[in-house]
Amino acid sequence: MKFQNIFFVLLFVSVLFPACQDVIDLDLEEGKSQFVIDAWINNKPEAQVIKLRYTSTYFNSTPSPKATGAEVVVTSSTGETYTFTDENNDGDYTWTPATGESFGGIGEDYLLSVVLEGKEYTAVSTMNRVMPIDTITYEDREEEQGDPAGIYAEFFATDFVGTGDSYWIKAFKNDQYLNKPSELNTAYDAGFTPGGNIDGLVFITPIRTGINRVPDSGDDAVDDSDQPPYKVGDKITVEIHSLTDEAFFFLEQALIQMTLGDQTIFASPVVNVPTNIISPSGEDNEAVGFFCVSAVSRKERMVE
Amino acid sequence: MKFFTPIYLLLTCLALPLFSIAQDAETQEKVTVSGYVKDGTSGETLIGAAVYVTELSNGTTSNEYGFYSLSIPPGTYKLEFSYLGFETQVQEIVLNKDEKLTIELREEAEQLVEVIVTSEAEDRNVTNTEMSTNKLQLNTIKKMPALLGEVDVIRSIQLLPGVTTVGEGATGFNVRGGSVDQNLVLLDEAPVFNSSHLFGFFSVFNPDAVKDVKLYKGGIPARYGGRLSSILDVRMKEGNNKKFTFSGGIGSIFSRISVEGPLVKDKSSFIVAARRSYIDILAKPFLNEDLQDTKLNFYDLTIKANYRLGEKDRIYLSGYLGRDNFGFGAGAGFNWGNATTTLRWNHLFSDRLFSNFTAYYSNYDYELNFGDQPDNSFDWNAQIVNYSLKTDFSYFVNPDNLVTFGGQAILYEFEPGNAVGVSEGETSDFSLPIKRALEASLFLENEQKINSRLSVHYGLRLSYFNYLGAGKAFEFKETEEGERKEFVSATEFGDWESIEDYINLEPRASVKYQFDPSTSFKLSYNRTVQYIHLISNTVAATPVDVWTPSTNNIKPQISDQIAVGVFKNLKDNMYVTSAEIYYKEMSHLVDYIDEADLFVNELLEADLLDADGRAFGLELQVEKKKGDLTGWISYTLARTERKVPGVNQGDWFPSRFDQTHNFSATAFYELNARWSFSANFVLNTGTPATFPTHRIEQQGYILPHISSGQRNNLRIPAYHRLDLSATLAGKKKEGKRWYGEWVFSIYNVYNRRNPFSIFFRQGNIRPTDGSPVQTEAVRLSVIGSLIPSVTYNFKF
Repeated sequence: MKFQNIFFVLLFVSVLFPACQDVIDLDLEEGKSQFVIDAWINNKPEAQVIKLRYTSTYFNSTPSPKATGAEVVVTSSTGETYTFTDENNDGDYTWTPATGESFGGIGEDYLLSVVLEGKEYTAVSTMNRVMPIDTITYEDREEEQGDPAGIYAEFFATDFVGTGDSYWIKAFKNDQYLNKPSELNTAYDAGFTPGGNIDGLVFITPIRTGINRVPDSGDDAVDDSDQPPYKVGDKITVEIHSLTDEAFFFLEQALIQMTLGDQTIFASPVVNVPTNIISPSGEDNEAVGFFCVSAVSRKERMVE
Repeated sequence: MKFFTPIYLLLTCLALPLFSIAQDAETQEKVTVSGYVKDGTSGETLIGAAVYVTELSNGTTSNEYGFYSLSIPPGTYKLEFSYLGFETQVQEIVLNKDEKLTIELREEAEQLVEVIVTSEAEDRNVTNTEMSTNKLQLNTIKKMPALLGEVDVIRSIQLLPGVTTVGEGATGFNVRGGSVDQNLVLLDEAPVFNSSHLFGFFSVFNPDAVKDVKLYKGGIPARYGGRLSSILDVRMKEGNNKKFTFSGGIGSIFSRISVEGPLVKDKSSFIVAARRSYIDILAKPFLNEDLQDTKLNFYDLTIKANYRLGEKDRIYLSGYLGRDNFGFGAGAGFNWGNATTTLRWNHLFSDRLFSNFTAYYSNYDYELNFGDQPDNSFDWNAQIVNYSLKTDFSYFVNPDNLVTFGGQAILYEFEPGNAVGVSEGETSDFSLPIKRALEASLFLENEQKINSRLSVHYGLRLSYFNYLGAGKAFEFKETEEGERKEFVSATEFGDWESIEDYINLEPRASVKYQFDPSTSFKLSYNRTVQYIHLISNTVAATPVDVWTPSTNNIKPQISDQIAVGVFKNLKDNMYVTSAEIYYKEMSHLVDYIDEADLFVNELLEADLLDADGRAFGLELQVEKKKGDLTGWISYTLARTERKVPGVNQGDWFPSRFDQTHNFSATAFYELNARWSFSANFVLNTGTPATFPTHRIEQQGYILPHISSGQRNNLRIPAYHRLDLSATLAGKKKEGKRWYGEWVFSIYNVYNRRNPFSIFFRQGNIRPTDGSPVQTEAVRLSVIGSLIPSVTYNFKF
């Protein structure tokens, strides 16, 4: 999907017909609110948070309603239990490792159990292996194809031999996560997708350079002035989070769904992203959201 | 085996009237008059010209090659030859032996004094058995207001009842609720897999090289097959066989030039027509230095030549080559295009048996590449190639029976994707294997006039499809309806080994009953089967969508359609009106799971769903054919639905191309010899789309969510647009060869931003930690303003 995106965006923007976009008011269908589990935890030596919420209507920009009073426990295949507690009663359930320790171990399976209002919701995940980041490089670039002049970074890491590894690459600029949907960067082995069979290699170029901020596109683009390209004195941080197949697929779908507009007339339809939460009644859409346990490798570099 | 019983039964039914015809032919002595009907100015043959025997009140029409044949008792007759836009010509002939009679008709513009007004051709829509069929004269298409002044066959047919599009820039067209891949687009008998340049903005047909366009939406004759919804039969000009003419145009997008003329006078002629866009050339001075390498052009070349080997044989060679090229610096490139070559041989076995043999090659391919360094690059290409041999015979039994029969074999080669990625000098090839298939068919049909009121056209098509190795046949297990199927096993097949085959009978029939000379009632039924499928689940089909054959998992699509209609002409054929109702049932349509992965996916079949479809509607059309003001109004009230296991609880729901109301009006007004004007207006219900109801928060991202999980739960707003155009024709002077005309047009006159789609996103501002993320609905309009244009056309 990503190849198509890149091409069609380039094409449509440059083609004679600059498609025009207007933000409009729209009445959407009514529907029932659902329970959301946002459980992405990892082995970084810091507090791990599982957020329990409800869906709110699409255009409602107030914070999502919180689900409080739940019991949240993660159990590992080795029998260890981690209890997440909502100290502040704000729907954020936290487990904090002791100093010098971190969550879980590579290769282990985990079971999440959330008991809310007498119903138990469960999900499973595995902490998969992650490779170290070899280097982060950067170079000074002239203005090129819509990207302003500035410093652009690239990181290098080599995928494990053997297919089936997948990763979420997170980039931070001065400790601030580059959090726009278009900046979401995932890899399956060394390439974009499982079908690619690009295995055991250094990540392919678009993934390596996917740690730079992405400017807004479209004819109503506002310059993303709060996040210009890297400059001297900036800190570049790259993290690789290992994923399960299901989690990779979830993020791939999430990215497609968040960037449908970039695909102009070739957009795929709006569909629900998958979930790995098993609801007690067996109904599919009782609860939505995702549980994933990642191992993380991390590297920082100052731009000098 | 179960297929064979009905085959015998049907063949017997078909053969019975043929036997009686043969007997009839023997008992009564008959002679044959046959020949060609041509345009007197260019020598171009005329398709569908009427040949009428006044004394017998009976007649025939010329076929796709301009040939006609009449077998009648000896005698003296007046033969009347007529064709729309041409002066009717009456020829007296004494027939006591077989005669050849080739007629050249003069264009009406050059009318002399002795004009015969009555014309059989004008009421053809009432008198013949054809229904759900539209024939557009190229002259009409040329007069319509066109986007950027580019005369466009595909956009013109979208103004006909029952033909819709999902929006501007979307490739292809939808006929009576069918998808874009269900139209068989033929250019001189070779299929064109992608009929568009620049996505869907312009069609690939050069108007200067096209002679005739005919669209079958229903009542499809048995000689056509392979697609479910429609046949668009585009015939190229043969080229002027009397003198050299040059024509061309300078427009805002393309420049066109074509040359036609005799190779050997009256024996052989040719036409070469070429177009090229020049957006890139025009844009170059305005581009930044780093965009100087931007490549953006499209072109097409159409070539045709024919040679008459004698009285009985004629050979045609035609070719088409079109390409769209896009490049962004040295780093990225993308191009696609069609190529077709057709070789045809017309042979007259006798004055009554006309035959045509066709061999064609057709190819559609695309190529993507990026990365400007050899050790970091990605190259990708895919194509569909087909080779075909085809034959058809027309047996002109007598004025009441025309029997057509023949067969075709097509060999397909699908290359779903050859991809090579190089990362830091290490190459990995993840090409998908080639797929092969053979499609074969036999057909037999008869057009029969039972009496002056009742005519029937019936036929049978037998089609066979064989999915061939080398390749893997996958076996999947359904875990849950509407979800990705689980892979079970793969079986390897060797080269040319049969993996799966299908055989289908496709009966076709239409009946006409004439109440009076200007009113008729028609009824038709057809079954069509489609063996190849375009895999696409985006709003508009993209140039990189892949075609796939029917396999052990993908069944051939089957459609049954019934249509009834009333046809009435008023005021001496000045007004031509029709009302039709159709009902269509389709099975084994290709649909997709929610998260379908259609790109480089060997296990693609696991993501496909087998859907049912149905479509029904009412189509009304009133056309004014004579006078200074001509044009038509059409209205369609329709519904097209799908039923997909596991989707929307397995209930019927509107498909992506469902438009409840579709109205269009096209008008032409001739002010005087020099000025003429035209206008189009279209109005239709917005197409269904899936809109979210809720938002899910995950790791700070906002994801759209539909709480009911329903597809196509709402519609985008209605579409309407007005286009105008004015043509200033140059002065015609005796002895002056140069003829020029200016065409001024405005597309989307009242500047409406018609929505192509509505999408949903987080606000365009980077979300800040902790504060809730804004979401918005965005209307995407492909054409957001009025577009004026000027074109100059010339001919000499």
